[in-house]
Amino acid sequence: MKKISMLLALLAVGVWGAAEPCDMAQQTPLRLMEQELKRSFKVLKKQKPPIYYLSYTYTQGQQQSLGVAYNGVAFQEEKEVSVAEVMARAGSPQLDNTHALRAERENWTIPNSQTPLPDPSDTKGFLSEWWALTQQAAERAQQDLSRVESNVRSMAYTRDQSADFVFPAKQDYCHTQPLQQVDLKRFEERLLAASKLTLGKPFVLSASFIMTVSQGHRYFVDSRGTRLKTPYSFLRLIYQLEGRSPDGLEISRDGIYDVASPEQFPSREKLLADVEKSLAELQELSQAPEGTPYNAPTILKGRAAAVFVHEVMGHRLEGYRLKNADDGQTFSGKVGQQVISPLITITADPTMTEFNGEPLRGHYEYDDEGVKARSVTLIENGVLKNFLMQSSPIEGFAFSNGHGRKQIGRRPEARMSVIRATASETVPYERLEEMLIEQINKQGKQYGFIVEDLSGGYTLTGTSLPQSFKLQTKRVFKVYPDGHKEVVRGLDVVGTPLVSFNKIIAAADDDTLFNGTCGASSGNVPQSNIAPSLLFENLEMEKTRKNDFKLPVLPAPDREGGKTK
Amino acid sequence: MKKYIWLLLLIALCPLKAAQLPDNMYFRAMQDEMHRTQKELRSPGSPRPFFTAYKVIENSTQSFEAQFGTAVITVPHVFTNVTAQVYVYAGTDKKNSSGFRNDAYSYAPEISTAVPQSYEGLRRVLWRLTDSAYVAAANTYEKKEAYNRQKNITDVLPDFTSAPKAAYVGAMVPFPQVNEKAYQDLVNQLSALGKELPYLESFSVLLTRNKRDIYFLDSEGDFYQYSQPSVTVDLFASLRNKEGYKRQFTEQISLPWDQNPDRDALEKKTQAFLDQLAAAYQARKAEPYLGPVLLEPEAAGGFFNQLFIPNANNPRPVPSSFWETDPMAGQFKDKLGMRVVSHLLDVYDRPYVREYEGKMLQGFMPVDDEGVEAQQLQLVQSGKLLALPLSRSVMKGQKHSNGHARMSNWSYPRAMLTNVFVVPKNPLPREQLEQQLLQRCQELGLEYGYIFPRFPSVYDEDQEVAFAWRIYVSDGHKEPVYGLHLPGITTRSLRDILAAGNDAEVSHFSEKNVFVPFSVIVPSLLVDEMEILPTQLKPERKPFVPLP
Repeated sequence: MKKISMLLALLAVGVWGAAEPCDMAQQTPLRLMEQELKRSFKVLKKQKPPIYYLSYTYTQGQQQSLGVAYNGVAFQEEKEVSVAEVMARAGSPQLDNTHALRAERENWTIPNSQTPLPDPSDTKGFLSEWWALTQQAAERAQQDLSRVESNVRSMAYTRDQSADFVFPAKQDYCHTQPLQQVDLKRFEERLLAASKLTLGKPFVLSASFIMTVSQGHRYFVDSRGTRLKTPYSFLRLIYQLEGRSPDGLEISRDGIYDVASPEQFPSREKLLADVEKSLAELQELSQAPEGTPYNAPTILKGRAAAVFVHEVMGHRLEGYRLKNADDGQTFSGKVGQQVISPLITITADPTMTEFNGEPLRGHYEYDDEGVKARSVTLIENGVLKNFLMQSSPIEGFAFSNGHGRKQIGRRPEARMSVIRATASETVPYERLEEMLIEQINKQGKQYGFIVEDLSGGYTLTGTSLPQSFKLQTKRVFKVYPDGHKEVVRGLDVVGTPLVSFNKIIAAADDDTLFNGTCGASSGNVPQSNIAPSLLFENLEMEKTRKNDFKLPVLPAPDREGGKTK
Repeated sequence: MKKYIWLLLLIALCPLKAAQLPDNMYFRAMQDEMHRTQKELRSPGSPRPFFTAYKVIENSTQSFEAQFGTAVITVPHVFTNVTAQVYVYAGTDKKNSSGFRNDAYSYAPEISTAVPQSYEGLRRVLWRLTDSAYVAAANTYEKKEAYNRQKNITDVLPDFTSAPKAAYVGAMVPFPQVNEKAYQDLVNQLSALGKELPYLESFSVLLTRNKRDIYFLDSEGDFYQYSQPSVTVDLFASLRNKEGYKRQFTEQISLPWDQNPDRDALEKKTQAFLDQLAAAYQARKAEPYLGPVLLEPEAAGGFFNQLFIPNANNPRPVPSSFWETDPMAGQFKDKLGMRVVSHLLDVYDRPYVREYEGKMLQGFMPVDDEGVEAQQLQLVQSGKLLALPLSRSVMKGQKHSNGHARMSNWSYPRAMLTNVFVVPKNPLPREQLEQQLLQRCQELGLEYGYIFPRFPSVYDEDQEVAFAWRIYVSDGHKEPVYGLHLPGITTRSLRDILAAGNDAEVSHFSEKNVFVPFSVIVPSLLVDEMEILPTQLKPERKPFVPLP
């Protein structure tokens, strides 16, 4: 089963200052990596089978985190990050070790250092790590190639016979960004004050307030001569409030703040006000009636629409899926055809750095294969134009468009960056709600829905299961023909992509950003989605899975008289 | 003998029973939530909580690491986190949920590994954990009843015996500030010694300062608190010998908690480790052998860890519909009064002992995790098994716990050993042990015998000694050997011990399945017969590219 999930509560957002050019010759890690790569490649390319391509990635930076709950610090940590990864390709570009295997364990991972690397000033220690990883990578690539060759011989014919690899163009780019000094201790009081608001609230089962800072540089060299140094910087504050209804339904509200610098974190007053609002919403949810499955006109509002675009359309536009025989290949052979509502255009643009002042975590300068990031129009007015491409061609698309992405330890695959859905015609949001009510009346429905927030979702693209999607809602309103609204709980949006996307009949002018982390086969990658609120002729709602356990027998201890000691 | 006198003195001075519950945030939160649990936690139709225990551990760690003379990128900040463990037994003193594994739940307490450091935070965490533990206990109670009916078990031992109140209040030591630069310089310097061996693929030194502040309270009013500090230096090396066999070598050196590390002594130990690696690089492959083996203290510790400890632990099996026989139950439970070890040895378990020759012992435990005062046990006298560790879930023929219930994140309290002292009746100096080894080889017509510096880990499925010394009868010279596979080692070997040294050292271990820490203090041991086969592992291919 290929289950792709969009996670809300992960990592932080990419932020980029003005490019600060750097002298490539002064970059010791790059120099050493290049030296060891050349030394190894000279030997490895002569092996049988040959290692025909080799790349090194070195991620060096720092991570800070502060976790608070119930007026106490749960964890505070600062650590340096120093990870080496080696990608080796054995065989030839036409058929190599990364070829999708059928009916066999996947070959998704690449060797990476399990412990921090020695500082590059220790030349021997630093080089030895690369040497050991290169040996592992070359051995594994050769083993995987023999599995691939036997798999290709014994399995059924695959329609798309494109090569496994196209050499990326040589790049030389150096961008240094000084690391920001972030003293998380400064924010401790703010988080503690916010956490105190959750005490004495019987509907709050658990609460957490977490601040994370992750920043540093990524160094990349390959056997084609590419040398890259690019920065990354993620600063995030997230809070999560959770409860459970007596019938076992998990409910939650959250707040996420992605910022470019520590000064942009919400002030004490704003944070406390937001938490108060979320608590009120959680309480409202805890008392809300349970919804029943229904098919009705629906608005996906802001964040919810952004997640919908990501899950329902975005994953099916990831190019590599089209030559994976186990994948549903929703858009195979449909280039140039109308595939969704003509109202909608979808682009992927990793070069975008911010949206309405908020940094975009899906931004990057070069992808994980060393290919320069660029903007791509995927669907234009409903017509399929292009796919998200890594350096693995598919029929009709021979080159990467800079979307080869991965988490540490995985090999790259075509993944989303900053996905944006725009509408050729828009209306103010208020008008969209009026149109919803018109649809409800027109269709003679008892009510329609407004999905205000989602916790995430997933889409099944494999052929072994229904190729459907599910969006897990956090806050849903029933909207009655007379316009009055009622919060309901326990409903998820379900459907299939081609039907659902064609049901879009209007869009608002309220483009909204959802920064998240997407976890698919090449792992968790930071990602951004922008979409306007969307009105659907109808969408199907089904019941949410519930927890097996009752509410705790005793009330929370801080509820006794509303006081704590 | 002298060293045992001060140990006894230390035991006598332990401040048991005179203690008052300390007034600190942890105990306030535990006591308040415990009162509520005792008074109010009831679920209609389910048995009431009969026994509840809370254990809170504040763990602080600081590490320094270097490889080949350079700091491995690390921030030497002190990292602190708080863990809470909670278990509840439901039912009555006669019949309750303890000592049974319910398929639907793991046999472990409820835990939280990131407890907010505030009264309110700890109360909240204890509240949630207690609730989950109670649900699990009530469910287990019913399953246990059903199991007893299904298996027609009528002659049951008491589930949970009574015990007098126990308390221990140890001094809580602060985590001392150190000169971080000096510590980093030290590990840099030690790891730089590895540069002398150009064939080492990796060599790193990790110095870890750790302190665990432990707080325990149960529903019968038993409690304890103490600090458990430690400083260790770990040496890690990776070596591929000339024939392509690649092995990881590690050594842990324990240091006194309250003193600056002795640089010279550490250098000597690191150099000795590197000398052994140099020998391992040159070593020849083992050949089939059946004969005596001299185990150096660290190997003897591993030997006892593998053959004695797991068989003495858990004398009362935990029944379950999950398994027919409890895989953790020790085999010595039916051997009381029988000879289980060589008659040359006595074996003690001493939970009260905190340190041995300046090294902190991992089994220190004045009160156990069921609130029972931990007792010293003479486990073995002249080879005969006299006693076994007991929890309140006693074994047949025993009436009360001897205070050896130990829990971890992976297990409810079970009867386990703490600090195991192996005491020879006639300790010999090392030279005499080697002579005795050679003499025995001669009697058996063997050309050589073996000396093991280490014994295979309990986790090593291949049961291989990576490196050993072969000692020749003709002239006593030694040759390094690698790849010694030990097939079928059984408890028989414990009875085959011919002699023991006067060089007892401490080795630290964790129980194989549930990771409860303990220490073994054991001297060199000469074992009459061990079977050795050459390694079955295949050598790795030569690297494509030579080391940089």
